Amino acid sequence: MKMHRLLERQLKKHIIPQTDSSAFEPFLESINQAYFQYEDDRLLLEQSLELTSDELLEKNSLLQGKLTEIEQMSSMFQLLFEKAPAGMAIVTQDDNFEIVNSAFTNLTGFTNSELQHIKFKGLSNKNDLASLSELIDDLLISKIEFFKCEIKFKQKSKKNIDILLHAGLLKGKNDHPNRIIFQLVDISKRKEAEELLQYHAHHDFLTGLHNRKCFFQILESAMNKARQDNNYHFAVLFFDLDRFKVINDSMGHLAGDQLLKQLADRMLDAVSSKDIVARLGGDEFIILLDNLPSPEYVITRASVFQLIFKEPFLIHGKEIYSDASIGIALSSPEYNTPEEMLRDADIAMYRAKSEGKSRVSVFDKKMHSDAVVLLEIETILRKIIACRDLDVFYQPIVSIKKNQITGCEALLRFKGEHFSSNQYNLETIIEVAEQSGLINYIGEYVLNEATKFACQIQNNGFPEFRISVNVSPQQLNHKRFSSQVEQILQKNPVSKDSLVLELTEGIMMESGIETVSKLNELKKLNLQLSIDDFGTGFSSLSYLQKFPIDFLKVDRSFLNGVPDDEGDAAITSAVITLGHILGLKVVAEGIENSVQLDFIRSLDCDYYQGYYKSRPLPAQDFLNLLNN
Amino acid sequence: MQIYQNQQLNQKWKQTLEPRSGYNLVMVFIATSAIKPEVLIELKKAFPGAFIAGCSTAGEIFGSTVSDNSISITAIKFENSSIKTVSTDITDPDKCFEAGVSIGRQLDHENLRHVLVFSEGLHVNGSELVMGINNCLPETVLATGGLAADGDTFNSTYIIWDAQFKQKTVGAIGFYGDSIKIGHGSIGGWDTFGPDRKITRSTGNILYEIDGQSALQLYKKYLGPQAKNLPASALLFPLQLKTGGKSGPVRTVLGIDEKNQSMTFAGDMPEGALACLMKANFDRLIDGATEAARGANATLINSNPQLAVLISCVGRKLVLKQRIEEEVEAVAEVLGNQTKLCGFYSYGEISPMTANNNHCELHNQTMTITTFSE
Repeated sequence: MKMHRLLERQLKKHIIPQTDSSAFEPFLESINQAYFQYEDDRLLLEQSLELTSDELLEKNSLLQGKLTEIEQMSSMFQLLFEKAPAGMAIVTQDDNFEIVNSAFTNLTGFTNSELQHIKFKGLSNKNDLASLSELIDDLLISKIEFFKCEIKFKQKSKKNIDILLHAGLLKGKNDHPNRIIFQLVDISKRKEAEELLQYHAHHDFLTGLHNRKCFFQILESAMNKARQDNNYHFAVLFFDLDRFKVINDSMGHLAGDQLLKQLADRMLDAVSSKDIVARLGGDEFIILLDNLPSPEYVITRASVFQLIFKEPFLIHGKEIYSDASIGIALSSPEYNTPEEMLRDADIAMYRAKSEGKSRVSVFDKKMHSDAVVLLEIETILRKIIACRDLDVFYQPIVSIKKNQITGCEALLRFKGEHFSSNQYNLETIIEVAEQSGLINYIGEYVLNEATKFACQIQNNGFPEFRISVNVSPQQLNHKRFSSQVEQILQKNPVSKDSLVLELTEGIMMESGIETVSKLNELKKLNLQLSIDDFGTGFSSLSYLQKFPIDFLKVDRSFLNGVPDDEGDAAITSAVITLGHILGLKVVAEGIENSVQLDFIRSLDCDYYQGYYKSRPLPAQDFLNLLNN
Repeated sequence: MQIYQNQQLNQKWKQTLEPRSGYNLVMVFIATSAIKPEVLIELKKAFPGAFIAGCSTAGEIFGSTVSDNSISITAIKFENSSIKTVSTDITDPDKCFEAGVSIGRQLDHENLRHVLVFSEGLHVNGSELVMGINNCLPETVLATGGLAADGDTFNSTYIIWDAQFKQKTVGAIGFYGDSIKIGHGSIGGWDTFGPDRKITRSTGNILYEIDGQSALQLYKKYLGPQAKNLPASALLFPLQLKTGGKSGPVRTVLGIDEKNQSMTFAGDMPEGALACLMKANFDRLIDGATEAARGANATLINSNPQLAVLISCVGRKLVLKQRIEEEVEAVAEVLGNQTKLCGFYSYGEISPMTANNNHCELHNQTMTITTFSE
């Protein structure tokens, strides 16, 4: 047994050395163990104390470091808080202001001491209060840690301003929710800009009227209302100015804009407060007439709108008259979308326009089926153009004096079976081509083919052979038409005055001065002009003098009855005489027999064309006829 | 209730073990060094028809003495009460909750008054086991008991169940009847010291890091030369858990793993919880035992305890050493001469935290007392 030094010393001191200690051996061992155990325990405790002390010192120095860091952070926070450009406020759980920065007092107008008597939520607009309170409650129960929202905030001056509010939870001891920090940014200017953007998104920039998008929304809700209430009627009026392009072209866009603005004002004056006036774009306006007592009443209302064009518009000091064609679609449960209703008003407007200027037309179902047909034709035409299935036939024009073919009229034909079984007549097809603008392409094709053909004939022994090509009003009005003709003539150089452009009377009536200058420009290209189907249209004699015309073509309808029908014979005779008096050559169309030919020959008519000589022929057949 | 007690020291029974009939239950607390199959055969013969249950220990309590290398037996004959015994194997230490649930479900709940649990001491997450048992018992029924031990070696523990030595097993004795009265008390008496530390890495009852540092290294630093006696020496510094600002259970080490630098504790070591080292204060440990006895007495309303089962932590024994019997004597003094004492030093104690609390938990470093009277 290793004896503890203290026990050994005690034994030496107090027990007589010679004493037999064997009887005390287990007792001594037990005491000895206890001495050692207590020493071990003491050492363990001393060591623990030392280690703990070291650990605590280390923790203390770490905490000191953290404290310095926190102090620095705190002063930085204070600086940021105070100098932040946004309003900042720290609010207690009871909704009381604890501290605010200068930007906050500037923003709200309240002083620090005034804020001591105000609750934070009390500054929110009552409409926002419920949702704001809910968000704050969620924050305080740590359901969320942060939120942002846009609210209206009351200033001391009682004025409401738009605020972007950020809020975050400040936690205290043991992570318990303690206070809320709010940041308030004045977004009034942004809101105004947004409202302005919103306004522009729904209004026409020029006139301030509702725009298409907005009108559609209103129209849709009116349609919904009509579906629920059988007694609720409304109508959509589609306006298209009849002479707007002319005004725009002749007086400039600013004048055109002035006209549109004045018109918008007049329309607004003419409607009731429930009606909606909108501008679709260009010179197209729409009006929704709300809550009509009966569908028929719309006509009465439409006539009022016609009156607004009665007085001239004063544009740049000049009095300008304008007119509009009005198409009307009445509310019906059959309409599913605003687009459908507007489409029908548009169709009715086109019908009104085609019936003459300043008309009003109410949409009916036939108009729609007509429109469907036109669309079908247009589709077929586009296909024909894409497949290059166009062809040109030629009908001889014969000099009566020489009794020989001196020229021909180029006539458009379609290859293949696109228009099966003569479903549509050529006039309708051409009309569609004109409306759709396809006529420009087709016209250019015919002119090119015809002049190429004429060149071929002129180069084969017929140097004075004349080629007549029809020109539609749309082609003539196209600003590039003249240069287009010039380019074709450079490519296919026919001899001087051998190209004859055939124009309808309608062209002459469109607009005098501009047409004269256009025709004069064309004449400079060494070509000749002819009036087609003379006598069927306006037959104004004055334009025959004004315009640089070379030929008159007497319409076939007058020649059908000659010589027996006295009326036809008289008109034919008068036209030929008139032409000659004005120094024009006259061509009679539709000559189908020798009696008709003898009649016009007796009147000294210059040329004829018709089945009597030949129907329109493909190029090669025509060449064969010419050479024989 | 009739109680018969005997003790075997140096392979000799204090009284000759003669057959005694009519006993319901024999509780056996045995040092691993004394484990022999013949012991249980002998007991079976001596107490025919009695259920023989108990466990291996880190010290056996017999009367007011604490012995090593002994066997302490206490046989009980109930007059009006009955018992039911159930057990389950712990096949996977991660499924201790399920084992607890199995125990709770197997017991007949009608007329059930109390449950005494003896559990495997090493391959177990005691917290999960107790939670599982709690989960299935009626609210008024409490469970007390302890984890088997293996001295201060932490090698292998056994429970004795139906007169057989078993490993990785949990057994529970359910006490039934209106006449049986049961009290309980559990107190530690350790002092915390040093800073609060945060558990930064753990899985269940396995602790890896405290404050981002190896927990094992922290223990080695504090134990100094005694580190060579790990894991037993770690019992000198239990850990007080704190969650949500409140003191939780005390945890002691069951084992260490040098390779993974981990320490296995008797119960959960939740990540994020705070833990504080504890140290022994001899007087307070003994005061703790006194308080536990008072608690057990107080909960046994209007009745003097006839029997007290003392389950105390091996950690206390390692600290108190020669003075260990003082805590048993302190208990005896409170309970009085009429109360027979038995029990053992364990690797974990099962008891409610306080006398008025029905929520049973796994504790370490406590003196846990369950008192019986009929």
